Parts: sequence; C-alpha cells; structure tokens
Amino acid sequence: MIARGFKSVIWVATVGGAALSCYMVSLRVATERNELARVERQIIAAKRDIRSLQTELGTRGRMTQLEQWNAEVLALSAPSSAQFLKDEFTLARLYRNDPTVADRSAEVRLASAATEAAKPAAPGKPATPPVVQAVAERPAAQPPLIHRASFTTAEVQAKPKPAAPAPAKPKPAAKPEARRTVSATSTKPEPDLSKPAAKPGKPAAQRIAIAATSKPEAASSRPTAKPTAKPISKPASKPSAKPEALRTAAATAKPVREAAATPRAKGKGGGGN
Amino acid sequence: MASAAILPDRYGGAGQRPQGLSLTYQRLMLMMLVFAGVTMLIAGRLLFLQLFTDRGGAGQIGNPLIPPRADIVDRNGTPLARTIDAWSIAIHPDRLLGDPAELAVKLAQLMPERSAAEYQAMLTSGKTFVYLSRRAVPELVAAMNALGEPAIEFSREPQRMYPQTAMAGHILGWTDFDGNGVAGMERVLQDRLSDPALRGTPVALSIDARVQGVMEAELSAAMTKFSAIGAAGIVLDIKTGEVIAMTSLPQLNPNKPGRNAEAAGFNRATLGVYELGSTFKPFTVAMAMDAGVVKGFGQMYNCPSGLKAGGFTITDTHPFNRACSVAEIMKESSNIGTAQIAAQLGSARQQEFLRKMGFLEPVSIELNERGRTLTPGANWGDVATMTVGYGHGIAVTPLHLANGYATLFNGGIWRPSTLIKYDSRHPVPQGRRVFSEETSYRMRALLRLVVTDGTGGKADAKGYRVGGKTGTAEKIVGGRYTGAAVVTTFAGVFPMDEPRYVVVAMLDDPKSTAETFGFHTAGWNVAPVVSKVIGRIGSLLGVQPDERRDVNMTEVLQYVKKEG
Repeated sequence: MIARGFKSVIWVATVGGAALSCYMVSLRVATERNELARVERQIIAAKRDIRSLQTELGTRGRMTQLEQWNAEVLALSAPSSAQFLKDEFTLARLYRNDPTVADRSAEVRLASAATEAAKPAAPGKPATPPVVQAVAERPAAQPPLIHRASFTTAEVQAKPKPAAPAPAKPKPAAKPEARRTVSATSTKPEPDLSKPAAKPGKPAAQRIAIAATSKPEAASSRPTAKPTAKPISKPASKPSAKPEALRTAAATAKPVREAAATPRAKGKGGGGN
Repeated sequence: MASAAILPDRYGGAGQRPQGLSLTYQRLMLMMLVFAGVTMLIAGRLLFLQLFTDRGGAGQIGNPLIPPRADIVDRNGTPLARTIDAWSIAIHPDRLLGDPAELAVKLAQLMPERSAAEYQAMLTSGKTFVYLSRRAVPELVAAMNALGEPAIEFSREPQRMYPQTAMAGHILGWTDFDGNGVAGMERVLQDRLSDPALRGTPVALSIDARVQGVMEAELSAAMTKFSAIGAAGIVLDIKTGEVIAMTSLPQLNPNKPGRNAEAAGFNRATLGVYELGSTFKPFTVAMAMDAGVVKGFGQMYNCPSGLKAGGFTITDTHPFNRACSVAEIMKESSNIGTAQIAAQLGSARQQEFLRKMGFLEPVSIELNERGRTLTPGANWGDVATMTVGYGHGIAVTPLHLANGYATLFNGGIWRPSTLIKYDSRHPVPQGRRVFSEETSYRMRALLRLVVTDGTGGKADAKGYRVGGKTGTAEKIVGGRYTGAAVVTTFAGVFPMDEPRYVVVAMLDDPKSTAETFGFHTAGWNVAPVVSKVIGRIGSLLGVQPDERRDVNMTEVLQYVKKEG
C-alpha cells in the first residue's frame, strides 16, 4: 500500500539518480578533456619557448661571434696535419717515457764487480741484476740509515739455473713498485722493512757504495742476483726488503745499472739494491 | 469530380462537430511532433558537438607550431633563417593623452633613429595609426611600456630573422615586411617556403655554416690587410656541384636590408663578372690536350720575351727567352706559351669548349642575381682566341670559374651549381661530358706543380695536397688596362690526388704591402687565404691531411728545367 503510494516517488528518484550519475560521468569526462587541452597548450607553449630559445642561442653563438671570441680570447687554431694520426701505432710512437727519479739517480750509481764465479752462473744474461749488498753513506752521521739488503744463498742457489728465463718474468711486476719506493721518501718504514730482509740475507754480499766492493762480496752477490727477482714476487716478506734496499742505495746502484740491459731490469735492479 | 461535389457538403453538413475535434487532435499531434523534432535536433546537435568539436579544437591548437614561413637551414641543420614572433610598437596619434612634445623627446631618447622633431610631427599629424618600431627588442618594449601612454600599442607579428646575421646574406636574401622574399633564396623559394603543406619542414641549403664562416672570416681579414674594395669566395663540391660556401664582401645583413651600404648589395660571386686572368690557363691546356693539340706536358713551345698578336705584344712577367715545355708554361704562368697553345686550338674549338662549360651564358644557379658574361662575341678571331686562352678578353663570374674547375677535375663532367642540398628526393643530375677522363686525370699533376714549384706556393696547406692556379688580371679603368688596379684570384682544388672540393678566392683591387714586397699579384695576397681556408675546413669536410700522400708528379717534373 505504502509502496504503491511511493511508487511514483521511487521512479522519480531512480530516474533522477540515473540522470545525475550520467551527468557526473559526462562532467568528469569534460573535466579530463579540459585538463588534456591545458596540458597540450602547455606543451605547445613549451615547444614555442624551446624554438625561441634555440633561436636566441643560435644568434648569440653565431659563427662570426665565435670567430671573434676565438680571436680575442681563446686563440685556438685548426689542427695541423701532424696532429692527425693514421692509426694507433702512430699514436703509440708519440709516447715518450720520461725518466723517473730512480732512472735519474741511476746516473750517479757506482760500480759493481762481476767475478769469475758469477759468470757461469749467469752466462749471457745481462738482464739479470746482480743482487749486491748496498750500503749508502749519508753525509750526516745517521747510523740507522745504513741498511743491509741480503738474501739467503741457499734458497738462491737452488733456483738460478732452472729459472734462467724466469727472473725476467717477475721484473715487470717489480718495477713499478721499485719506482714508487724510490720517490716515496718516508724513512719510518725502512728500519722495519730492513729487518726481515736482513735476517735471511746473511750470506748475501754486502756492497758498499764507495766502490769498495771486495771480490768475495761481489762473488756472493752475483748468485743472489737472480733470486732477487724471484723472491720479490714470491714471499711476502722479501719484497719488503727491496724497497728498503732501493732507497738506501739510491746513489749506489751502478752495478745493477750495468747489468740491466733493459729499463725494466734497471728498475728492478734498483729494487734489488 | 465526385469528391469536389462531396466536400462542401462534409464541411458544411451535420458531421461538422466531431470533425473539428479530430482536426484539433491532428493539430496537437503536429505541434507535438514539431516540438519533439526540434528537441531531437538540438539533442543531436549537442551530441555531435560533444563528439566532434573537441578534436577539431585540438587540431587548431597544434597549428601554432607550424611557422608562417618555412625555416631555411644549412646542410647540417643549423638554422639560417627563421620566422619568430617579434614585437611591433605602434601609436595612435589621434588618441594621444599626454603632451606630444614631451613624448616626442622621450621617444627620441629611446629610439634615436629619428629626431624629436620628427617624432613630434608624427604625433601631431592626427593619423589613426603609425608604426614606431617594427622589429623591437623586448628591452625597448619594456621601456616604451613604462612611458605609460595608452595610445601606444604593442603587438606581436611574425618576423623573418637571420640568426647568423650577415653570414651568407647574399645567398639567403631577405623578405619585405609582409614576409615575401624579395632577394636571394628567399625570393627563389617563395612558393616553397609559404606553401601551407610544406611550411613545417625546413628547406636545407647546400651551404655548410662552418665553412661559410671560415671563408668569410679569412677573406675579410685579407680584404682589410690588403685594403681591397671587395672580395668573393666559393667552396664547391666537385662531384655534385653543391655550393658549400659562397660569400661576397662587403657583407650584407639581411636582418636590416634597408640599412646596408650600397656596395654591399652587389653579389660579386654570381653577379659580378671579372676577367679572371691566368686561372683560365688550365682550361686552355686541358682543351688542347682533349683536342689532341697538346700530346703531353713535354711538348715544347718557343717562349721569347714578347709575342706579337694583332696590334699588340703579349708579354710575360717571368720571360723564359728559350723553348719551354707545357709544364713550365703552367708553372711560371706564361702568357706567351698559353697564347700559342690557344692559337693552335683555334677559335671554333675554344668557343665550343667554353659553351659546354657554361661560360658563355649566365651562371647556372638558383639565384636571380646572375651576371651576363662578357665575351669577344663576333670579334672572336685569332687574337681574341689567344687572349681568352690566358683569361683576358672574357669576363665571367667567380662561380663560373669554380664550376669550370669542378668540371675539369671531377672527371670532365659539367653539372649545374646548386644551393639546394641533394638528397634522395633531389638526386644529383647526370651532367654532360666536357673533358675526357684521361685529360681530367693528367691535369691534376700539372696544377699540383703550380703549388709545389710555381707561382701558387703560398696556397699550399700542409698535408691537404692543394693544387691550383693563381690569376692576376688588370682592371680596365677608363677603357684601358692599368697595372695599378688588379683583380687577383686563386682557384684551388684539394686533395689533388682525389679531388673533392674547389676553393676559389678573389680580391678586388688589393694593394701591395710591405709584407708582400710591393707585389700585388695573386700569389702574394689571395693564395695565403686559400691556404688558411683549406687548413681550417679540410678536416671539417672530411679530408684527412696526410703528408705522405701526393699526386704522381713524375709526368710533369721531368719536363721542368731546374733553375740555378
């Protein structure tokens, strides 16, 4: 009864609700469309801005202006024909190895002696730097600055012959290290480093920079030469000997120098000293 | 008949009442249908608008991005001409509120192009509309706005702008205030640039802005140094005939077409015709070789100190006074030797070759600013043949010369020069054969010799294997040749072992300086320009300098007698 009475009201409400929701949907769509149009307008405005800014930039950076700046400030010129390289080999040829501190200090290194005993050990192997014991004398009386570098002969003697080509191998590895140590002048680590090095190095020859290399010393030094290269790469403790020695012998590496035919061996030799 | 009889009876009879009711119903029904129809129509229209109008609106929004006139760009896309929205400032003198005298002073301060009195006359004229400035910069607009005069009107209107200012001004030309091209490529491409369907895509010219900049900078430096009255320079792609750079000095700024100097409007590269002198000699030798008159560079000619031709005597700056080979004639730029070669070739064959090279008609390029070449015409006898052989008695444009060298060194094919970049839709034309490939190949060594051993030594750019020929021609002043004023030209080709570009530089009336030891010949003033230009543009154009490569010179060097 009541429902019947309200039937028309319900109808009206239903139709009204439907119409309203439809209207809401269309309103929503219209809003979205407007939003889209707004974004599109923004895009267009941005594109116009880009175009005008490009024009402005192009005008400010015009060829004549660049030419003028170049004439007044930059003074750049076109690359000459010598600056054009055909291939990477031509490029590699331009590389010049500037002498390092070690190389330069090598110039004033003093003598070493090769003994008869040493010769058979290293026939025709100029690249192998003889390990010589080096002692550099500092002008001031600073006892701790005189170090000894030495290696155990026993270990050495086992190796030299079979390892004839081998010594060359570790050299590259050793070289940069050696250089670095040379340029680094910190004195502190030295004593520490020298100790472990000195321990095994009893039989190793002792070379004094003042060309006082006595024969027996040199003799013993020669066999040790090869191992120098080796130990460097092998036991961790031994390389530590090298920097120390090198530093000490900054001015005393002549023998090594002589022995070393290649710059590489040279660097390594420095390490050995 | 029957119904006609019945009708009056029906309306006038007893059935009148129910009939009137149904008529009312009918009318009501009709009215309802009409209302429904109108409602439906409106609803349909609304629906239609809802569905289709928005898209139309979106399409209209997209339009502003298409410029009213297409851009012009160089071959790498650097804009050379653009249309931007510029400010224009106008005033309505009849609606003026402030004091005209006071305003006129302020206007004169802001825009000093006119005096305060002129502004006042303008303001008191009572006109409805006067433009104050049509291409105003934003700073000026802001300053004018600060004056606060309501009669001043600001509006934005499309304006043609040339970002590179005076660079390539003669090529681009300019437009009038209505945006119609009136000179240069703007005029040539008027239809293409304003075509609504094609406005969106820029037109690519064959110009390379970098090369153009280098050419203009080096030429204007030389022009200042040697106090020349003008200069022209061209870089041409040998294989296609595309103009990579073309300039004429003094420069012309298309942004201010009305305010350029009178002399600047003259395009020396395509409109000016000059007797280009010795740069013609390679053509004569090539013609003679192609015709079989000259068999090889060792062919000997008698080169005395003077050669009688008609009423006058041909002389050389470096007389041989002995027999000389073709290679030596070219190396020392001997007029006497070349005249003899031309005489052997003969007038008819010379004219035929020149006609095939396009030297007897205005240069083939899109521009309207083209000059008519001057030739001996009907008087093309033996004497004229001899003088034309070494570049006198015939006046052509520098572009003719560049195109001639391109023809000579690209294998002998003539192609029209063009300022439009060639691409897939616009391919390189076939061209026509002028010289044989053999002649084209053999001439390389001869022109390289001029640079390595001869008069063009200063044109050499290290590693770029430059070949070319100098040319110094006396200008005709008052109907007579005079040694005082000359036109110096250098036509160069690089790299000579595989020719790719022609570079032509010309100085109009250069003076000698202390640096040139009193000489004003091409080898001293214009050849260094070519060297500098090639040194700077060579690598930009993809030519890698290489000092270990060169032309095979054995064919010419054996015929050159070593002096001293």
